[in-house]
Amino acid sequence: MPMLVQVRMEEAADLDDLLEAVDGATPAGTAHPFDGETVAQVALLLSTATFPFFRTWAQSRIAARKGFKVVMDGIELSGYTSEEAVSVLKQIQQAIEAENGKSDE
Amino acid sequence: MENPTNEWLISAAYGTDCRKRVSPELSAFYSSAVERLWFRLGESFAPSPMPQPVLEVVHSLVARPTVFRSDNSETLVYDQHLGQICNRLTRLALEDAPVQAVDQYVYRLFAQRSFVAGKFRSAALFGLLAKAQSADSWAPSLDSAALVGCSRLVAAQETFILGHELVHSHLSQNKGGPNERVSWYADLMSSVHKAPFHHADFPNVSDPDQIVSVFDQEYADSIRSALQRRGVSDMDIPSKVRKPGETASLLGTRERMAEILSSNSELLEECVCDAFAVIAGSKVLVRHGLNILDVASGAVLALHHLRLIQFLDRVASNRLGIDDIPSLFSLSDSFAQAVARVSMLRAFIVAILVMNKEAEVAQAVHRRLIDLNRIHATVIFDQVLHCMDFPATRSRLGEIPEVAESVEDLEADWKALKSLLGFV
Repeated sequence: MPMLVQVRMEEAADLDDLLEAVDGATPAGTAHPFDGETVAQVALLLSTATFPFFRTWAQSRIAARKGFKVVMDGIELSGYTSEEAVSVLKQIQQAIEAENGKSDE
Repeated sequence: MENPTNEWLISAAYGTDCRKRVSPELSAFYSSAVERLWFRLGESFAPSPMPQPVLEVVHSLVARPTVFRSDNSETLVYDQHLGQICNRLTRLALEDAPVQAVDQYVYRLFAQRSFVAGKFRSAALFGLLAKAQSADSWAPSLDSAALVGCSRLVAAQETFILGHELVHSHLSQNKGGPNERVSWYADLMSSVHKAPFHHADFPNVSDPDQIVSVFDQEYADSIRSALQRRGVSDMDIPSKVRKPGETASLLGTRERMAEILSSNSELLEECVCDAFAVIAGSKVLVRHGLNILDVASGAVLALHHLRLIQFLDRVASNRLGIDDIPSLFSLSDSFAQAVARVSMLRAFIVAILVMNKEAEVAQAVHRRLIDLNRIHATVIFDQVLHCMDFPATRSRLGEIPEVAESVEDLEADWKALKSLLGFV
């Protein structure tokens, strides 16, 4: 599941933890949407094996009161509160399961 | 994993199917526009050490342009769907469409923004609502003059949006360092805002109270007009709808703009990008027969339409409820800054025309831009605020058993849901 994880520019260094924790994660420069603030981003190929590492990173951000955004297949999932983070993680897990289901067919 | 390619980034950000609906004719128009805008911006700014950004055209529900930057390259992704949104909103506003037609499109747009925000239940509910909304009595005019006029305005909007992003690219080359164009703009706007009431509406009026009373009257007229659109014509609207002193305070914001700009570097950069996008856009579009009135109108409409998308995105992602509306009028908020940008851009264009000794054109442009603000506010944005209680509508709809059943089916079938939203 190709995915971008985005954080605010001033928190770009926090992505280093993600790069270390998730196998295959790689820096993907910055993105500047029209009328939005520039964000730093990391590209990931999430799988059943790597998801727990991403989940730990996401949960630690929420515990530190920092948000993040996940972008996959044209859908932008924001995790700025613990409820949102739970919902984002659930949606990612479902997407991974759906992709695994496809490859098993 | 190696460094992600453009294709990889675009698939993640805009969806794996974002290329399949791209129109080759429009792609050619955007490529040509970007090339010419980049050339014209080179006349205003120091030559960029970076090459022209690579343009990638997509067509997706995301509908927002994005610039991806890495160490040695820039990619500008433009989403054709944004042009379609601008086209529809322009036609609804300029053809004074009935409220039912505006509602139908606002529901559809809100459904699309909900989908992009990952709120599929909301996307399904509002997609169904848009489908059920009857707007049969209205269709955009097929009159050739209306079609040509609208297509000119949409071309001007899209050129402005592309130009704005390209100015960011130029400015990003010397981040943190002084830029003489930014200083020139800040100085010009400082002198414009320090003038008592510079604007072309009141060249011969020196009494601020008289101006306040005209603005109060115009505000009351706008409310009356919005109510009449909803069939309310017998309500007595007082001439002073705003609280005492409120209009004067709002007009005072204009005088505080120079101060606000000097303390907010992000807003200053956005305003500079808007200003130079208009300058470059007017040079590019003149060869297509568009004049400064078209270019300025397109720029202002583009800002209104992007602000509307930004607003709906916030509501869709549950980041804004009906109780939060007052916060939108604080200039610390990016939404309020978008409103300020419209005013700054109008003042900039008028100032440049006056400096070029085109006072009559300046007057006409000023008048037209004020009219467009009123038309957009009355026909589109007021209607969005009117049906703004999206969460309440969402829960009402969700309680209807047959709707709930359809929503459940659609939530589980993204392909069908996208199809409902116009993306087959």
